[in-house]
Amino acid sequence: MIERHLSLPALRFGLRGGRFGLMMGVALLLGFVVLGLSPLFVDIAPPAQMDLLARLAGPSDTHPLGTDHLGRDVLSRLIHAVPVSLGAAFATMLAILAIALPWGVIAAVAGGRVDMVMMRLADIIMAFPTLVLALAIIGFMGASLQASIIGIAAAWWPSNARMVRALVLSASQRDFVRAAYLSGASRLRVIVRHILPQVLPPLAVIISLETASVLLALSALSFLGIGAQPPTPEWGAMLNQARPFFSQAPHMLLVPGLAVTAAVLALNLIGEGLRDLLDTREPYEW
Amino acid sequence: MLDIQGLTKTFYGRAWLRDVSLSIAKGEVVGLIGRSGAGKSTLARCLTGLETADTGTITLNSETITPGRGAARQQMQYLWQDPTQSLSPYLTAQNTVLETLNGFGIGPRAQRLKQARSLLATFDLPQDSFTRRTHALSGGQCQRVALARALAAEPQVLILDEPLSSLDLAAQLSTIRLLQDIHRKRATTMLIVSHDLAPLRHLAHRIVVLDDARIVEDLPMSCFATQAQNPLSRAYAQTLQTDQAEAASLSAHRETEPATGGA
Repeated sequence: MIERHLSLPALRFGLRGGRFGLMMGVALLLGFVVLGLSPLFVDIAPPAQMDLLARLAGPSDTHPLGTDHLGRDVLSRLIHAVPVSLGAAFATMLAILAIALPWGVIAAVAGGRVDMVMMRLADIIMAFPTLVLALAIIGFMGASLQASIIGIAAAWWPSNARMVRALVLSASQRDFVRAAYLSGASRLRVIVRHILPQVLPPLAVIISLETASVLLALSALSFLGIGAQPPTPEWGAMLNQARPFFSQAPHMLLVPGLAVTAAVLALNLIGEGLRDLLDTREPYEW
Repeated sequence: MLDIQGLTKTFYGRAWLRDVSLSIAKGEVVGLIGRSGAGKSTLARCLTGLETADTGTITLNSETITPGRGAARQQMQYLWQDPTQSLSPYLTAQNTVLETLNGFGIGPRAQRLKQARSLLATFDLPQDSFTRRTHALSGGQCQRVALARALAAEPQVLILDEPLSSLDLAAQLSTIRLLQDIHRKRATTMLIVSHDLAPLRHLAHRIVVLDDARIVEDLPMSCFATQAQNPLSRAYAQTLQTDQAEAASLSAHRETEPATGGA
């Protein structure tokens, strides 16, 4: 019903096909990539360079996004935090997939007792609240960005392994997969050539949406002071440092906050867009 | 050659096969007919390992086999009811056949692609379809690719599950001719599952009727119409006679039709 009242073709297109959202998400993410690479081409102040005379200054010509409590340029810190924050989120997702993908595939293909044991192990880890388990690992390893990546990955992979297993089980029931095995293809070939091509598109959607959640979790840990440590520029850590100065210098909180929001929005738009593109079922009509 | 003894299969609280025993000689073509839900496809799937029978033994050349495992995986090939669903949309027609040649190590490695292409060519598939992905082929062409893949394994027994049901009339006729050709050239033993007796009269040496999970009739094709005892078998035999009468009447009608000139 809502769609019928929309006159903008781009919005109608976006709501119907998800392509507009996907393009917006990709554009936003590309924007972050360009921003992250800009120090290589543009002369930007180092993120740790302090100017105590210009503490908590608002936006100006010299500091377009103002300065923080130590007189560091907020724009410079925001830009230098792009590879740290997004890189950490992607590295965590990679680590999650490195465990979840083979775990889910092996459990689904092997079946029987192997499946049961592997899934019960995943269930045991899933029984712990994600952040509590991550905090325990970080407590054991010591607060750092690397520890929070490992902590989040260790607590996050079981739910992804379950999803991979479900996708593989569904894919392996297709006639052509069973026909390939009966026609002589080895188990490995069946997985690589017939099952994974079915699993990867829906997995791309999951990866995109999960990366957004992982980015939020990593930012939360940094905000709590147990993720990236000063003076490393990281969005969550920047939020934490800005907290006591919110009334004096709101830009300190707004800038990294908006960056996290935009990055999460970009990843969610990509995920939703991919899902709409790959889902060929007719949309439900109210 | 293929000997099935006391096969039973129960699932969802229902018996799909009850003590089914059947022997098929080398080079014999057996038609397995019956109503929907009689257990025909279950028997075919049990023979290829797609389902596991609860009890019973299957021997091939006097050796007990586990369907779908070991040598039996190559020796007994299965043609799926819907050829379009049984071919991977990620592979081209020639790679589909090549996968089987590579999987079973048939022929010299360097010659396998050529072998796959020549096998497809013998099934009257156009050259340009070899490199096309199977979802871009017609139902009839998919059927031929699936047959080429099954025969690439050089099986001793070919099990065909309703090979004609998803095809149009022209494709049905050409598939019947193709199967006759395969049998003439390779003398492959075949078990053809069908719900219709008519197409089997051109192919099968023997007809086995399955009803309510049991074999109720097992007769040579030549005397099926006259010697069938079971009511269901007699009903099938009648359809055969009706078909023949219709064909005769059609042919008589064509002969008496006035020439219209032109085409």
